[in-house]
Parts: sequence; C-alpha cells; structure tokens
Amino acid sequence: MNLAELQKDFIEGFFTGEDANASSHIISDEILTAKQRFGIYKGSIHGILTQALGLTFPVCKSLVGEKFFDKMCDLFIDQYPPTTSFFAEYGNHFAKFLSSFKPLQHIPYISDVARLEWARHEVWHKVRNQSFDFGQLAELAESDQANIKFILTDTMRLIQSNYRIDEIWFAHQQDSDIKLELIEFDTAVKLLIWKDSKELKISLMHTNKQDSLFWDFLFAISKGSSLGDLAIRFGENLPDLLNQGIKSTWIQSFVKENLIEV
Amino acid sequence: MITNYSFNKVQGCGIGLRLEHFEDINAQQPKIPWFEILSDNYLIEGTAQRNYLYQLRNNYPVTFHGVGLSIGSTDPLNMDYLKRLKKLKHEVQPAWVSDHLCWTSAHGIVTHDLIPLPYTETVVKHIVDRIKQVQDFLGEQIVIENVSSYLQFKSTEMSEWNFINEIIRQSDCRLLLDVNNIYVSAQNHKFDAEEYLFAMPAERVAEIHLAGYEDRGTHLLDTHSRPVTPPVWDLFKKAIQHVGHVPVLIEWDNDIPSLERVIKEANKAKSIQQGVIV
Repeated sequence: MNLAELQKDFIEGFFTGEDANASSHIISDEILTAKQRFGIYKGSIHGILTQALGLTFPVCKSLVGEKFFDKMCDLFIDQYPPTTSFFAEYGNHFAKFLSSFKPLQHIPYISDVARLEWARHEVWHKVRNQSFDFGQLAELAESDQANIKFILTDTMRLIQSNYRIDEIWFAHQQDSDIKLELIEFDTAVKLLIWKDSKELKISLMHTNKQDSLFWDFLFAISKGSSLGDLAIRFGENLPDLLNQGIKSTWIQSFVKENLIEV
Repeated sequence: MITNYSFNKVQGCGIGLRLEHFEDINAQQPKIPWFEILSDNYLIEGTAQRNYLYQLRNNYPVTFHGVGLSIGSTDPLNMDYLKRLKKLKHEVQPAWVSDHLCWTSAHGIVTHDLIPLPYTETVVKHIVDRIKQVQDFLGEQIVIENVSSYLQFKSTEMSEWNFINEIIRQSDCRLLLDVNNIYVSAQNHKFDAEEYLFAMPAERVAEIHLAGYEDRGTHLLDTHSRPVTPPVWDLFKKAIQHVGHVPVLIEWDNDIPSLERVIKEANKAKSIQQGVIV
C-alpha cells in the first residue's frame, strides 16, 4: 500500500463520481459495502461544505430552495474543491459558478446576490483598521503627490449590479416589509457594504448625485487610480470627495511607489 | 498583541467555544474552568473572531484544537498553517495544542473532514516523523486525538490501539482520549471498546473528549449533535479509573443548544469524575 496513492484515490472519489479506486482500499462486510463506507465520508465532506456555503449564501439558498441549493452545492464542491484550511475563505468562486450555471439562467440576478453575500461575509470577518496620519500627504512634494495611490479599508466593499440585489437581499431578512414580488428587478444599483462598530450595513449609493459620485470615486480608488488620475477625473470635486473618504475611514492609507507610508 | 497571562493551567470540565455562545459568554461570564477553541477559525489575523478570542483569554484559560494540521497527509506539512498557529499560540498561550490522528488534506485539496489512516508500520513512521517536525517547530509536545471511523483498510496490519501506542511512544507526543470516538468505532467495527481504552498509555493522556453521536442504523456517526449517550458515560467512568483526574471537555458542534445546556453536560461530567475519583 502506498499512502500517497491511497489519498489520491480518496480525493478523486470525494470530488468526482469516480470512487472505484478509493473503494478498492476498503474492507466490505455484511453490513456495508466498501463503496457504502466510502460514501459515508463523501457524504460527510459534501455535507460539511454545503452547510458552510448555506451559512455564507443564505439568500441564494432561499431563492432556489434548500433541495436545489444542496444539489447545486454538490456540483460546485466537485468543480471547486477547497484548497484552503480556512472555512472563511471557501466560497469565493460561488458567484462565478452561479453566473454560468445553466439551470439558473431564469434568475439572472442570483450571481450578483452571491457577490453581495460574499462581500458581507468578507467584511464581517474584518476588523476596522487603526487610524492613519494623512498629514504625511501634505509633506510630500507636489510631483510625488500625483503618483500616490489610496488604499481602501478591508471593512468595506463596493458592488455594482444591473439588478436590484439590495432589495432582493432585504426581502429575505426577518421582519422585512419588502415584498419580493413587488421588486423591480431590472434596476441597476451601486452599493456600499460596510461595517460599523456593531453591524453590517448595505448602503444604496445612487439615490443622489453626490452619493453616486462618491461611489465612483471609491470605485476608481479600488481599481488603482493614482491621485493624479483622480484629480483629472473628479476635478473640483476632488477635495470634498477625499475629505469624505478619509473622514468615513473608508480610505485607510496611501502608498507611494508601492511602499506603504507609515 | 502579546500578553503574559498569569493563568494557562487547565483543569476540571470545560466546553468547546462556539460562535453561537459568544454573546452569552460575554454577558454572563459563566463559571467554566476553560474553553477549547477551534484554532483553525482564529488563524486569520485581523478578524472579528480573533479579537473576540483576545477578549475571552483575559478571563479564561484556553486550549487549541485543530483540524488543519493533517498529520497523516502525504503532502508536505503546511508551513503557512503552522506559522499562523505558532503566532496565535504565542499571543494566546493555550495550555496545549491538539489535533487529530488522521488526514484532512492531500494533493492540495482540503476535505475539512477527519479521514482515517491504514494502521501499518510505514504509516506509523510517516506520522512519527511529522509529529516530531511539528513539535520541533512549535517548541512543545502536541496532543493528538483518536478519531471515529466508518471504514477499515485492507492494508491495515495492526489494531488501532497498537497504532496509537506506537505513535505516542516514538514521537513523544501526548494523547487526547476521545471516549465517544472509541465507542463509535468499536460499534462500527465490532471490537471491544474496553480493550482499546485500557490499552491507552494512561500517563500520556492530556485530556478527555466527550460528545454525542447519531445512530444511522448501519453505523454510528460522530456528529457532536446530541447529549453524551449512556454507554459513553459508562465508558467514561472506566476511562477515569484508567487515566485518573485529567481535564474533560464537552464538544457540541451541530444542532448547538443553549450555553446553559452545554454547561449542564460539563457539570454532569464533573460530577461523574468526582464520584469516580474519591
């Protein structure tokens, strides 16, 4: 017996339908066959991972129903078996998987709902960053200032969707007065998911021009725009936007030439 | 964050720390002698859970219990995982670090489940080498737990209790004796639970685990979703006679009841322990 080969056969059996090689290592008896005994482990692994996905994506689960969700997770788990020891990191491919999952093409917004739920999951696990001395910005030479890039806090995510995913999400919360059947699904949204000291929040950012501009500003930062790029794009609005970003602590710090200035 | 805690000794009957109980623990500060934390859940720095652990540690001793070590894997040891574990250990100062005698990952894939090993001399050597590497890296003895199993390998050459004894002897690690796991495996594979129990090296037992299983008809499944069953309590009494007064822990991971209910189970273990050891 070669342990590495045995483990290879087991991994193959856990994450594909091919369990003949894995079962060949196992003793059958009068109570359970080797295949059935292997199946206990396969079922347990898929159950553990499906449960974890259900906790991370409860609205997606509710949208498709528990039975469908569980079967869909089986396919997802086989396609994207975990490569991390940390549960909190499992599920980052779920939205991508849903976007190309043909049986759900009649619910085109579900992958964006998954993106929203993953963003909430990620933000929930983060703690607010310590304060940063932005006074250092004024000490830089003007020519250097144009090249700096701002860093956004880990406790905030920006999401854009062609669907009203915020209301879809709220409609699935306890005591919500939003009715799923009354939502105008095909309404584009810009969202900001963030955490204050107590809870996660979802802010809709396009109901007024100023919020929408602020979302665009933060989004440009998230895509790596330098201060010089931001000045060109946001012009006279830049000082106010920058002030708002720093005051809200969503702009966490800045880097110059790939070095963090601390 | 590094604090020199004045207390890290663990004794009596503790419970496993679960997310569902965080608020109640904060509010009630219950009289629990210690908490066992699922260390894998706290290895990402800068998380809310990690901050919670720092707070908890100010009031309670803790032990670490992991799944991610995958001591039986043929992949190289996961040094990223071990470095994170060592850093957390340095910060939180647990009484000890434990994991399972099994494999959880191989060929780059992580199952998040406890998969058993064939009991052979070759596997003993493989595990012993890896435990020694881990102990050298962490700078202390680790504690390994016997797992429940639902299958037996054709290639197995020895009993599970001989396998465990050899590994503990050769690697100089300690044992987390899971009494429920012995019972579950004994029922599933038709061996004598007491023969297994009394073959365990008593002087090496750091801790006892108790939990509840589910009867699936063809086999018992170690679900940690129920109260401890009467036959496991009976086996626990024999375990105390064998190993003496070691710390005991209640694990409850699925269908998690109130904090009060889990504490009640720990208090039952405590009463039995005090009744058996006069």
